Amino acid sequence: MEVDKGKGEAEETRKVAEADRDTVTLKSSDGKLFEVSKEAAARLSTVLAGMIAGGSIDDNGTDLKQIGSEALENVVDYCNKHANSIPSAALISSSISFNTAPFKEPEEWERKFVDRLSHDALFDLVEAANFLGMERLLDVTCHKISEMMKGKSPDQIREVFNIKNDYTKEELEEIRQELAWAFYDD
Amino acid sequence: MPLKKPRLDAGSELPPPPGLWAEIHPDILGVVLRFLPYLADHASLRSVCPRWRAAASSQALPPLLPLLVLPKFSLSCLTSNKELTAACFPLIPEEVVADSACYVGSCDRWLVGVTPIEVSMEDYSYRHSDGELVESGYWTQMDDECFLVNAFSRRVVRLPHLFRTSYICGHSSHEFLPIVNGLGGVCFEINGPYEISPNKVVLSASPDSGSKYIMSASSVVAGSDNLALWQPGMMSWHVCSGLDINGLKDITFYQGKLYIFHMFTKRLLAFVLDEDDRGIVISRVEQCVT
Repeated sequence: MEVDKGKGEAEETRKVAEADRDTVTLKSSDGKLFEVSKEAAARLSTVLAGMIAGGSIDDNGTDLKQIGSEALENVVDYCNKHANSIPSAALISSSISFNTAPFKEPEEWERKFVDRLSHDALFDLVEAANFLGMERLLDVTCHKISEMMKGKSPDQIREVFNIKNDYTKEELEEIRQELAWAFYDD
Repeated sequence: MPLKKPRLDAGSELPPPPGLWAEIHPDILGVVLRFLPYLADHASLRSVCPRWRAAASSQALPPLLPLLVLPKFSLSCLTSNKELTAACFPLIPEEVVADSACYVGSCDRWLVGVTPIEVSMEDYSYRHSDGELVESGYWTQMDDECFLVNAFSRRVVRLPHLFRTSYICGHSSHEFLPIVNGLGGVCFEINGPYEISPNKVVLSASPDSGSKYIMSASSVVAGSDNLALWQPGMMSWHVCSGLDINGLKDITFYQGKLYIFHMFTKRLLAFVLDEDDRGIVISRVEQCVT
């Protein structure tokens, strides 16, 4: 990496050392440290890429106050697995063919990766992926969430995600009309 | 790297704490919604709780797969298994669910239905209160309804009948409009007799939009081959006819004008519309591409 010649010697040495490291250390909200490949972090997370490029990565652990240790562990696991996985031939989804960027169906390992999570852990992971700007992980987790909703009535979805139905009577009437054609007796 | 202890096995977990998922970031729900292109799934998600509904409304989403209107006004939509849902009947008000009704247009949540013009003879008989049959005979009925129905709120807007045999004395007018930039012209008649058999009806705006929408009905039936115009407040259709719009044609509204593509002459005509105390009128007809 090109080093800025205008900086002081000590600074330069530190920067070289930092640039030479091929991992970054991330610190969860509860103070746990995780190492992740710099290349994978920069490739998979726009936020981490920005921090690495901007030099705001702390050797002693970059603080990610919004992310708990469990979610961060999953994020790091995902990055490492992604770095090790050999990308399969691009499998363009047949079911989602909107005009947006084509979505590549989750690969087998990605599917397993999200399938083993509890609902709580999935929630924390999807929030972390959103926070860190990890587009692929966000897609994979949201795809999983969408599969948990497909073909279900609002009541069934509320049950899966333990959500209270706190609509007012008027709102419920409006929804009843909206749902009448969606063929659920709500 | 081996996976380290997930919090709990997905199969044996306790329900998530209440309210957690209700608080999900709206952008995340937006991504989830992109994986749910089916109307039914989309409607379900929106109906879970007010927060999710607000989140869903705030997201710019690709268009959903459409609802299909099947014969006799049953509705069906695609499911996540890529099948059609069972046809759903009960929504449309009974008053407009005639066996002969067919649907010739849609706009937003509204459908345009017509029952074709046909004269039917029906038996009728009256019975006196003591049971004696006092009168019987035939009853002549004209079935030529046209209506707008909102497939969701079930509101019905009735339009003028499609068949009229008489003039409205003193109020009728008949005007020949030459085609600007082209040959020929069309006749525009107000308050005269007409017979409309629409095969396609278009609206300039949704009846919910608040603006005064215009409807145009195109008929391609020999003897009633015309183009009819109506807007709320009008008691009858205003009808345009002539050789230059006879036969197969397609119609659409664009930026306030009504465009007619005539298949036979391969001409695209633009009708410039205006409004006066009689309702919607055609002020000018232009040929678009010369």
